[in-house]
Amino acid sequence: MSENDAQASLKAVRTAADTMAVTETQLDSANTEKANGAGAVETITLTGRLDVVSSTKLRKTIQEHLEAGRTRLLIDLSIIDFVDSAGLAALVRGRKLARKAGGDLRLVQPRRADAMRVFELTTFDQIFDMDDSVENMIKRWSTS
Amino acid sequence: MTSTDASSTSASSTSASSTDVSSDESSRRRTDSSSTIESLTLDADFEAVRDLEGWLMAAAAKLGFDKDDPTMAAIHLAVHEVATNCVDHATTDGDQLQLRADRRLVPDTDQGGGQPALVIEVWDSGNKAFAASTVATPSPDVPQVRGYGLMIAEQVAASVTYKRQQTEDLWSNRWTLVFENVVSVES
Repeated sequence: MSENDAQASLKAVRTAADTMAVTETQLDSANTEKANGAGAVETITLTGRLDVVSSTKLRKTIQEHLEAGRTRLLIDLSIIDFVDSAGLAALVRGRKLARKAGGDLRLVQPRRADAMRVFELTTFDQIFDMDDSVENMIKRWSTS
Repeated sequence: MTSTDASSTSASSTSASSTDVSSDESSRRRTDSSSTIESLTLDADFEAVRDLEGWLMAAAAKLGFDKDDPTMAAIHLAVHEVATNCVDHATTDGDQLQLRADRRLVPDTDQGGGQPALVIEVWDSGNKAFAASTVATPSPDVPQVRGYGLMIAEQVAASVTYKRQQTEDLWSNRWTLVFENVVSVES
């Protein structure tokens, strides 16, 4: 990515039954950390159910980003309907791998209480770095 | 039906003593007079487990509970976790999952009384027993896949019991979840 490419570019990728729109957002170039190449935050927007069926696709998507050197992953759960323990496990594993690779995996929290519940019941709402919107998280991330 | 207890243990906790649910078929089962038992059979695969939400909500309503009570969504999550656990650990292709919803009074005393509880049982037609002892108690620092499902179920339900049950030559895994404080629409 070019340093001047400050505008958010958007590409939507459909991954089968559960729509998993993958968008790419470029950080403000002034704040990119070129030294470790971790300047860009990859935003992955999930819709529908993040459950035992669809979590396999999320794992694969996360894996592909990490292998391509994109280690700052923002998973946007704001409009997700339902998250189960398998979905949670995919996020936990993704976070571990991203941090190991020098990046991080952060979340935009679900707006629905039903989808947020799994994080609260397992206390993972305390573990994950969450924010209430993609914009706020990226703003915060770029200055940290 | 012959029913033999092989083990009875709380899911992911090492401390809890379990309730023997084997005798509830007869003397220990008490239900509201209006109660019926709702049941569902699903193919034991993860896609099919998605169908249990609609059944659960309808069953709860038929049993006199308020399906719009926000607690019901948490109950769905707990039942979903146990059902996926059954699919994951205990079944092979072609097997099925059975679910049963019932309304019982707790505490269950000879004097009667008690509050209505929603009791959900989930069992499979598999023959491999799920070894609760092989699933470590989860800790947020140690990511693991399945332990969290049982942790969630135990947090939502008043009790979660597991037993291995033998029916003829098949071993199945039977879970009983008791949900208290569900809003009832009956007077």
